[in-house]
Amino acid sequence: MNGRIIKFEGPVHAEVDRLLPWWVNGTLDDDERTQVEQHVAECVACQREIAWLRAMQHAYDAKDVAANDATPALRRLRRRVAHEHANAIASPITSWWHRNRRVAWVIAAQAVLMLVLGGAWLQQRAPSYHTLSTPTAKSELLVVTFDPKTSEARLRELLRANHARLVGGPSQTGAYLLSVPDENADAARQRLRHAPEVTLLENLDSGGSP
Amino acid sequence: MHGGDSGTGKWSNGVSDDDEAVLLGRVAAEEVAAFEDLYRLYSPRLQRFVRGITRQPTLIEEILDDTMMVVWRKAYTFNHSAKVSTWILAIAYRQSLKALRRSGDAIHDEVADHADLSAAGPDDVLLQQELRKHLDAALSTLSTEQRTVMELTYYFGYACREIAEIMGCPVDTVKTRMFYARRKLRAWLSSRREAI
Repeated sequence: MNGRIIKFEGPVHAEVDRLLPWWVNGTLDDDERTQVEQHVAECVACQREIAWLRAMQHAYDAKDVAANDATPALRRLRRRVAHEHANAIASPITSWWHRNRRVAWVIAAQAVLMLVLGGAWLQQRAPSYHTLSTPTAKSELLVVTFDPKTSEARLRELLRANHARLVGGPSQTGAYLLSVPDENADAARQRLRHAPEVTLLENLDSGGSP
Repeated sequence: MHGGDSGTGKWSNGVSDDDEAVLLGRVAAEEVAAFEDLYRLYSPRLQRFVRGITRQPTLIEEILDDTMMVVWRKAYTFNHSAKVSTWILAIAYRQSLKALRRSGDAIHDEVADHADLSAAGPDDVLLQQELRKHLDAALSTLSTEQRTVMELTYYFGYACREIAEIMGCPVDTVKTRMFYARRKLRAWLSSRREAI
């Protein structure tokens, strides 16, 4: 902020002049109001300034305009909220981290310390060994909102038909997180997008686009 | 207006400050229905506020959406030390400044305003009539900060201290901005009348 601040320590007239806008809108505290009213009773310049400021206030009131319809905005906001919820479901740790950053740092620092100490201890004690693991199949995460009237049987049917697994939800907004194997993902997205029961479909891995 | 109608009385729709705090508490608990109620309650005044300070109709929708999403994400940080209306307008003010910066619009032109001080002249009925007719054009000569102070004082009826909270600046800064805004408006209207 580079605006120059004027210190209002001058004569009474100057101090009162600066308070006049808030005398006109009726928000001065008792002391300030008394100070203004005592001075204004004797000051023609301040009386004229008050007439000018009242004209200003009336001009402001006169230029009121009707507010826009809230419906399209609510639709946009619902979508953004649903998307944020879906992200929160997909990453509850991230969401918790944002809300409890300080505690999270302490826990993270402790975890790192434990890992370092534990690692050092294992290196000293444990013989080396190897594990064999099967690589897990890759899958795509979809955020889906169903029509609230959809029956459980139909929901199950939709999941089975699309080889989808339910991995999260429902969120506050009714969104579910589905995992679909990569090889079925394109077809699943197409089918779900056209299913009448699906009201919102987003691909979490592609930043929200369906 | 004189008589202590501080804050947002004309916008309240019968909803008290305490009711608003409860509503915001429900938003903090991620109740979507409460969020939508809060949006309906605040949308008219936010539209008016953002339009008044940015003078850019094309930015209003984006700023309102961004403001309400910040409200949604940060509702849990509201600590009841201020009114809900002050808290939300402060967010809207910051989002407006951000949007203006993104759009390349100049925000700070207060230094240049200082040159206008000598132009202040005596006011009269004609000047007041000019003001009523040309307030929009006159306001466009002010900086964003000066317009914000004017809007919050004359239209929303906020106290100086509350405006300082919304704008995140000292009370003296609010008074200074108002001082220059009044002088500049008067100078602009005087020069306009002389030119006719």
